[in-house]
Amino acid sequence: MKQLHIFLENKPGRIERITAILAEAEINITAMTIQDTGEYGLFKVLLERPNEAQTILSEKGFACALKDVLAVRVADRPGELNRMVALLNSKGINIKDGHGFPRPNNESVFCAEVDDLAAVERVVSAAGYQLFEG
Amino acid sequence: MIWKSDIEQMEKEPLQELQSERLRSLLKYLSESNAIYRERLAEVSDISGVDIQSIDRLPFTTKEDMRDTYPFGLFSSPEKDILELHVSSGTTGNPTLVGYTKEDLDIWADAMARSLAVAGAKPADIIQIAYGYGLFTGGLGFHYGALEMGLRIIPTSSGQTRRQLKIMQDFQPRILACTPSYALYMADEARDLGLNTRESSWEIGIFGAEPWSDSIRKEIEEVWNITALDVYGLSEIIGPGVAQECPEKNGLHVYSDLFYPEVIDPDSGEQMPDGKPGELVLTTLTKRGIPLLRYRTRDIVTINHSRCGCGRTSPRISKVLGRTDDMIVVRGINVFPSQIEHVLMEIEGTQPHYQLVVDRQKNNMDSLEVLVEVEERFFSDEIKQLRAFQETVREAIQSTLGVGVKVRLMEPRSLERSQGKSKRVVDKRQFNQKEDQ
Repeated sequence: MKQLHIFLENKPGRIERITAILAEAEINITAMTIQDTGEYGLFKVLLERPNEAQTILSEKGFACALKDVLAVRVADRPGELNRMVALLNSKGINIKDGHGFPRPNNESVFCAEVDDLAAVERVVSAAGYQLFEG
Repeated sequence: MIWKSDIEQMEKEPLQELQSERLRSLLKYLSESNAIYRERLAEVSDISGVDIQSIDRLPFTTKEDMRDTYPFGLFSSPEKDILELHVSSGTTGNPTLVGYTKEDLDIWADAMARSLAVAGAKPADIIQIAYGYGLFTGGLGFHYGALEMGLRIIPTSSGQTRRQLKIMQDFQPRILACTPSYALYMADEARDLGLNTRESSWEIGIFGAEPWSDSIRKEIEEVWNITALDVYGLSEIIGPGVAQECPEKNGLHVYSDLFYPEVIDPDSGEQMPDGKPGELVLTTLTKRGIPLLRYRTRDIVTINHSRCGCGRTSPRISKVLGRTDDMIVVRGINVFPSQIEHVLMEIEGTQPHYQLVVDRQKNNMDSLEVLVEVEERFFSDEIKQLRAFQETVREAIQSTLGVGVKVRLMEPRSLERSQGKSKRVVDKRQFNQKEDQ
């Protein structure tokens, strides 16, 4: 799954500049998270038409990059996240940054930045998980 | 007192005769002693007819000339006659090296003694010299002048603030010589110690080596209860002692029989009239070791040839109003934007938009911040890598400049541009405010 990472200074109004551009382009945002360092941060969004979104934001002068991230569908009930991360841990996979969001029908999506995504995707698929395709 | 009243109060015509005579012997000396000047002066027509009024027929000397001919290319004395060397920080290239013969050290002592007198010192006064002693010319320049005048010297050099204050209390010096920022820094320290700064023994402060405004003057005068005066100099010419402000506080007297000043349009090279800002150009009329002809200081000043209320006829220059290039002085260290560019080029292989922000913190120490726009082509999608980039830049700049910096990452196109280029330097230290001019 492609996640768009956008560099932002930590100042009021910055995120709105991005959401306004995406709204204008009628691109739907599925999920988002913000990673902050105090002075600056990364605004990370899962959205429709990520390539188009990146092109538009680049043209508007934003420093942004598409990052392939792990996005896995898990059941929305106690213990499921634990089961997922335990699996990754058992294979020595480190989660660098992550977030999650609920979906209809008692389902959640777990998103994580990991090294060697293809191998990780094979691990979770082999364990019976389905990847989230947007 | 006026240290060399016969010269410092000389009328215009005899002074011009003296200057012309000295200029002609300088040209002869340079042609005889220095290969670079010999070549350059050979191209000047009717050189024997040059006098001080037609000095503009002579070629300029630039900072680049000094760097390009490093170390000894512009020296005119044999190396064995150079008794003292001083080196100032440079850009990524060569530093600036200057050397003094015995005659030059005498000139320096004479010029600094004149400066001390201009500021109001008199023999047997006690002076606390809190400029750095060493490769920097500040400490030793004051020292030689003070010896020449017969002052009693406390050579504290810079730093060790509490000890400076104790020495002031114990020995009651009348004169303080240091950078203006250090005078303010000492005041903070004194307040922390519970001292009443207004009861200091200092009556006169001679401050230089960095630009400072009239509002800083007021602050220093108020806190220390002293008269705060500006001293101007540059190591290429002699060090401190090129010009000194008198208590009239209406310009700095230049010893024009030693260091002949011109103010020119930095682009056209044309002479500027009195009162109009331009680049200060100096000719060392009497130096032997490394005499310079029409040296472009890159300092922007105005000049005033009228007689001063203090009785001196020597021309006065204003405080430095700016620089012809972007050089900034941070904590006494010369910083060139080109150095930062160079570092960023080294790291990214490309030149991002950047901006230097210099500010003075509450403790009166200068801070330098480098703002770098994060551009698409070296944007990383991970915070960890952004931090690593930030740290790499910080370390590289710090080791190049020799001064601590903070690096701040900025959004693309967020820095102010003028004609497509980002504005390189923002100096928030409030020098050269309107009141100075």
